[in-house]
Amino acid sequence: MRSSGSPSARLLPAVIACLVSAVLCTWLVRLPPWLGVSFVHSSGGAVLALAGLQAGNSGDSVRHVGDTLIALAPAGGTPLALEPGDLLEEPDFLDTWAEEDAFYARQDRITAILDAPAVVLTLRDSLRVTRTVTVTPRPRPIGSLPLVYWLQLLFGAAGLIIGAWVWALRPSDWGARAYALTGVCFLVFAHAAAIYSAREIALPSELFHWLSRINHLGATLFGAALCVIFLVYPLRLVRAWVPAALAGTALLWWVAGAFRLAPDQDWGTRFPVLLAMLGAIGVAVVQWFRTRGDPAARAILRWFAVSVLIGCGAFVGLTALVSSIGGLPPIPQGYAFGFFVLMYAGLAVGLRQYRVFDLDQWAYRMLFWGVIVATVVAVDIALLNSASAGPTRLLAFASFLALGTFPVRRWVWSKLFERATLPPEALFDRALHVAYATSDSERDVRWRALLRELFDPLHAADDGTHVTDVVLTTQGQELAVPAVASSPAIRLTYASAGKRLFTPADAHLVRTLVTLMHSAEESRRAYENGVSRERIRIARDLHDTVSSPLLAGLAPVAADGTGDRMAAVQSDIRRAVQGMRSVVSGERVTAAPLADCVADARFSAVERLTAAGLTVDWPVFDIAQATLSADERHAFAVLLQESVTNIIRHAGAQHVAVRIQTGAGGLSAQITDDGRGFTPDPTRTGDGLPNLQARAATLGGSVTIGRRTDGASGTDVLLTMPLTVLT
Amino acid sequence: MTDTPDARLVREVLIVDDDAAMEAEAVAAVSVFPDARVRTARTMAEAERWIARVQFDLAVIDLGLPDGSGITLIRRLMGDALPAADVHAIPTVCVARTVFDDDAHLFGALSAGAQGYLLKGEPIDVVRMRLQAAMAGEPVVSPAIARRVLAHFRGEAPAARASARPAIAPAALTQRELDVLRQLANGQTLAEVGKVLTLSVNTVKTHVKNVYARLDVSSRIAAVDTARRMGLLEDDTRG
Repeated sequence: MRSSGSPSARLLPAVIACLVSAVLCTWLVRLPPWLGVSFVHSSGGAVLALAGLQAGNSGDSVRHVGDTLIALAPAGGTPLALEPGDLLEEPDFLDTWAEEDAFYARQDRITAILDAPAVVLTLRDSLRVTRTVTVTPRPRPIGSLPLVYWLQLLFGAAGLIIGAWVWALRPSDWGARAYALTGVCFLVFAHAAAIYSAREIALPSELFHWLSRINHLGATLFGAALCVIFLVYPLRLVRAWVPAALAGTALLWWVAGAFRLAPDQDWGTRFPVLLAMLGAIGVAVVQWFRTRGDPAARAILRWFAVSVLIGCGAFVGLTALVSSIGGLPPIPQGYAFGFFVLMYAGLAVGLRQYRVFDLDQWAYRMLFWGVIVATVVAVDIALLNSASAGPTRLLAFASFLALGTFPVRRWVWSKLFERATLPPEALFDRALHVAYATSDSERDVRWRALLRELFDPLHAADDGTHVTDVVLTTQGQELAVPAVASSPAIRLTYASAGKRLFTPADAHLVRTLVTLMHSAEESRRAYENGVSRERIRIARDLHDTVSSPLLAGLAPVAADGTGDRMAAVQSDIRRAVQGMRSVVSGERVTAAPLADCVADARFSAVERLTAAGLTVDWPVFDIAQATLSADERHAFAVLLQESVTNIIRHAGAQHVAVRIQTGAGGLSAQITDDGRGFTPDPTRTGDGLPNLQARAATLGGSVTIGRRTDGASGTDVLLTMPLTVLT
Repeated sequence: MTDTPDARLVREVLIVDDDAAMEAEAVAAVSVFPDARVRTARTMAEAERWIARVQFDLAVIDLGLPDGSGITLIRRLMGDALPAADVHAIPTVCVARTVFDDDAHLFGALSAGAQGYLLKGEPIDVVRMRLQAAMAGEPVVSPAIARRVLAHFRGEAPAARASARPAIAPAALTQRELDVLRQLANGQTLAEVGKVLTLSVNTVKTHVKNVYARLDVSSRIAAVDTARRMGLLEDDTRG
């Protein structure tokens, strides 16, 4: 579940702190001896109605339900009449220091009674009959702690974990720091309040007063931190000393309240909290004006401010405000703390929608992890504290919780946060589908359709800025896609029909797609280029090899004006057909291994000469590893072909010798016959030997034709060509 | 398998060509066989009707027909047309006729079972010579074809490589066959190969024909595949 080592490492201490704090609170709340009574506040105000008396202290607990507890007394001592105010949940509701002093004094007196070995309870039932019950105070069982106690622990823990979560992911962001600080403060004041609000009747005044001061400290700093958040987030409005000064002021004010330097509770504790709240609202309004023209920041601010106002505002409205005008809150403060959790939950939701603090849904993994760890450990602690089950069963149960619920957690995670995406191969298919559309406009249409299918943006417009890379702008409201696939750059606005922002994952997806598109486009272009080059090649070759002999055949008079016209035309047509074959086979453009060229030439020469009744001497040697270019290949083949034709037609030879040699000088081919000798014929045209000399020259070689150098009768043809020999 | 030179009388000849002039030329060339009775067809369908009715000794088939490839026709004549029970039937000698003489075209025809080929536009005496050679069992050889056959059996040809369907693995070549093909690939004629390997020319020819017979004809599917990969079954590839 860890998304990375270090944020988890930062979150873990917060999780541990929550658990330690919960254990500490539970230890403190169980310190005073316990009578086993629980109360409901009577509407009469002056009495304490007994909701229940724990079995074990009295033989008949049910009988006393609904009775009113009038007084407490140590066994054999003076009774102390109880007042409704003794069960006051939160001493902050008292207005003056004197009232507070009186409250604490009574708490001490009650505590003293509870310290006695036995306590006498004076009860009065609905028929106004009074009786006494003697109970023995004993350590408080965990199971007797009320729901509201656990809720306060839970709320505090939630605040700290969510705050720490954001900070763990953005440790250097001042907004996140202040936010995490509110979490710490919330835990402090909620947990402190949890202890004293869950007391049975009384706590020692020393402990009570300090818990109350800690509660005030948390609340005051919480308010200051809230102001700081809006001072630095979304826009940073002030210099760094301002938050520090604010925190310092909050601390001083707290000291003034805690040590009663302030005139009364209003000045000491309520005003600073209210002031901080008002301050936060004011700063938020300033932020609102400053973020004009920055819709993303405004979206964040709006969401954030609404969360904070609902969370804090509801609490303050219900408790601080009501008590400052002299009333008692309509619901216990412990439940009202839940409003703060709304604020944290609001942030958690806003993160996904608006990427508050630049966080995205990936961040949930972290939170999820933290919550799971905290839950599993808390349940384990609770189980270990329970005396009813053996250790083995406990361990099994704890393991089940940790491991058995894993698939459920996975499922919840996937349901909540994962979107369906195309698998890579499907993506590749789509890219090809776009790239291989037959026309530019079709490609454009398909590309836009693909983007629409992937992101369902509210709006997709051509982008005039010519972005060259995929860019996530305005904090995810827009995704700029570079020009691709015959389409201009496109700007997508508001993903999923406005339901979410574009994320870095979206940008990554588009970048992948664009890369795929580019390579697909390149292949297509290369293919099209190849096709068009081939078409040009064929056109040129057809012109060279097919049309010129055909045109010659069409001419009314042969070039030399003599001979058998019909035979000349047939010969022209044959040349044309032959030319066509060479064009189609691609031999005019394809390079080939020298050995293959020699083999082909040898076979054809030997076959033709043998058929004409000549003997051939052409030994098969190993040929060097070399490649002939298309032109070289053609020159070589034509030289041998023409030489053989000449020998058969004109030389009157009996024997032909051919030597092919490769060496440092390149390739040499020598064709020697024993005929009557060669007379150059200047009237010959076409691919004749004289033509070949020009061709060989352009290849850096030469063709020499002449009488045999050994003096015997016959002709010697020598072709030389430079050659790159591969060894 | 041995040659049957001059022993076979040519009585029934089928000429398949969609071009009237080419048909006329072929008819003239076939007159080299005095006993021949010539039937002509312009399309695959027409040819198929003749094949169903007549047992031909020789068929001269244009590879590019308006309604299909001559290769298919050759394959039918070599295998399909013969009732399996008719053990006495002598397979028709098929000669492919094409404008192009590159090894890809020839290899396709040879794979299908053609025993000779005619190049359109060649002088009529050359055509006659080739027809007689085919009837005499002379195999068509050239270094380019030998190279392609070698590559085919090495599995290097595109034919054997990237096929989704595993083509029937060609039976391995014997050492002798391999020697013969290598010599041919070097540019030696059949007679020269015989001299180098100290074999009779007829034995060399037999080796060559055995190799051709194994090219793929054992499996019609593989043969069609081979031809398609050679680009010979496309309708626009006019031979």
